[in-house]
This record gives sequence, C-alpha cells and structure tokens, in this order.
Amino acid sequence: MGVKIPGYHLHAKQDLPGLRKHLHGGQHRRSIHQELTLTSLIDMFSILIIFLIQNFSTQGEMFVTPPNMKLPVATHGQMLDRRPVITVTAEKISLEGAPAGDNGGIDEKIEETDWNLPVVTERLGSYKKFWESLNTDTKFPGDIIIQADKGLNFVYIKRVLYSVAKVGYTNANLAVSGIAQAQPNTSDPNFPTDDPRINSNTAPPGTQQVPGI
Amino acid sequence: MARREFQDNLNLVPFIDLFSTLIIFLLSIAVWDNLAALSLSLGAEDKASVEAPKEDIKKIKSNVKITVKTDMIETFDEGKTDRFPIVEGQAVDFAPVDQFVAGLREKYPDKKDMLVYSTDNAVYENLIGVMDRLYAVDFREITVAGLEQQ
Repeated sequence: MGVKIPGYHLHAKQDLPGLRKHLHGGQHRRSIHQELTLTSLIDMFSILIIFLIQNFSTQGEMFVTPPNMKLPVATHGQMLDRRPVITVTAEKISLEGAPAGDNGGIDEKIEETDWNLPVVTERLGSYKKFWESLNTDTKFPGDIIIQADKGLNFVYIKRVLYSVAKVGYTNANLAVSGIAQAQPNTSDPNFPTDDPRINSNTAPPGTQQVPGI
Repeated sequence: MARREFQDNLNLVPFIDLFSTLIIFLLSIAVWDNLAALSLSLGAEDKASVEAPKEDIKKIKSNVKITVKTDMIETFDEGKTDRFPIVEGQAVDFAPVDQFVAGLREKYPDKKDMLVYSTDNAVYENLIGVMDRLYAVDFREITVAGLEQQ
C-alpha cells in the first residue's frame, strides 16, 4: 500500500462555505478606514478635567509639611496666606524650614524648660524690622503660621506662642488639614477687612483686663 | 460645478489635543494637600502674652469659656460648669461640645469672641477640635490662654 498524502479534512468533510467567504472579505471588501470609538475617551477626559479644576487652588503650596507630621483636621478653617511658618515637632522647632530650637523632652520637664527660643525671636524680630522699614505708615500685622503634629501636647505650642508674642507676632494661625471655608483673617493692609480686632488697637467694648499669671 | 460633499464627522483631534494639554497642566499644578488655618489671638492670662506688646493683647472678660484638659473638656457659662470626659486611646466625643456651642449661639446671637483655656498637657488635636466647633457657629475671635499644669 503506497503512501497517501492527507487531504484538507475540514474542506473535505465539513466545509463551511459561509465562514470561508466571510474570512475572505465577503461580498464586499472591508475598508481599511476603521473609526475609533472616542466617546468613552472624551467622557473620561471631561470627568478628569472637572475634578482637577475643582481641586484647583490659586494658593499653591504654602509650605511643606514634614512627611511624618499629621496635622489636626478642621472643617471650618480659613484660607492660609503667606506668612512665616514655624514647624513644631516633638524633637525640634524650625522656622521656614531651618532649625530654630530644640524640644527634647519638654513635656517631661516643663518646670526646667527654657521658654525662650532665641533663634526664633531673633529671626522674626529682624523680619519685623525689615517689614516696618518698608511699611512705615502701617501697623505690623503680627501674623504667623504654626504647624504642629496633632498628637503633641499644648505645651509645645505654648512655648512657641510665648516666643513669637515677645517680638510682636500676636496673630497666630494654626495650620490644619481641611478645605478652607473662609477668607484669611489678617491684619495685613493688603487684605482689607471690617474685623474690629484689626482696625483697632483697643479691646472690644465691654471687656476689661484680667490679671495675668 | 461639483457639489461640495457634506462632512458629517466632527473632527475630534484638536479637541483631544486640548484636553490632553489641559490635563497635563492641571495635574502638574494640582495641590493635593488641602490646608487651612484656625486663627487665634493671645490672651492676657497666657504666659506668652505677658511679654507681648500691651496694645496687641486682647483684654479678656468673658462669662463663657471652654477649658481643654488632658482628661476632660470643661464648659463654663455664667456659673454653670459641665465636664465632658476624654478617655485615653478613644476618639473624643465632641457631641456635647457641639450642643454647648449651639446653645451659646442661640443665647448670644451677636457674640463673636470666645475664650478657650488649655492645660499644658492637653492634646493639641482636642484644642483644635474645640476651636473648629466654635468656628462652625461663627465664634471667630478666639482667644487661647494657657493654664498651668494640673
């Protein structure tokens, strides 16, 4: 018995003429111009743009928060304005990113702690003098931003407040995490406001001095 | 003269170009951290304000005050004191404080200033929590004063 060359089985026994015709283009040749469906792409782009525009902030990055610092959350904060930034951690204090004081174990030895932060007062004092030399007819606003970890004790912030108040920074803004709900509360002449605290150096009506500690 | 063929397909290429450029631009300038601030002024009873220029210090007189301590939040309104405990390791329940400040707002509709005391060992987050609730009912002139360690 001689060798038999196998034939095309599909064709030989179960030929599908309809499929074969379709695979070869059917009656009409397919056009090489296929249209991409762009609807979903444009939908996605639109949603992304709306989201990004909603998140758009004209403020920009006001300051850098250290990666291990968790700011307290507040839902009724006001917008931050550019002011000197003091960062308070359990270990140290920095002013505009530069080291300005040590906090080592402050809450364990409060009585022994030196409340003065000479580097902070010196730098802020010179900034105040510079500001006043440029704005001779305007009262110094005394605004400052303090960012501190939410888990710290108040004594850390109190120590900073003590030092900044000594050089005339009496309007402290505590940085919080959350979307600002109101305009900055500032005594800067660039931000006119009707706030009586800002337009007057006197105490609000009906108030009186309470003896200090 | 041949009739011009009606083009029914919208040319989306410039549209997609514009979108792509806009997305890249917005992504590059996006600010992902939402930061805000709670403003405070320094009280005359605070150690800090002892050294501050006299004209910058807000003088304090208030029949109403809130004290933040390590283990409780204390509210004081015309002789009536309420204490809301803080349990260590658990989230602080600010609901009583919400009720207190809402009651204050009804009682003093025009009042803007509020006095908040904090002890040295009070947790900063709890102080901010109280200030935030005061801001919520429009007490925006908050004076924070320190109390000695208790």
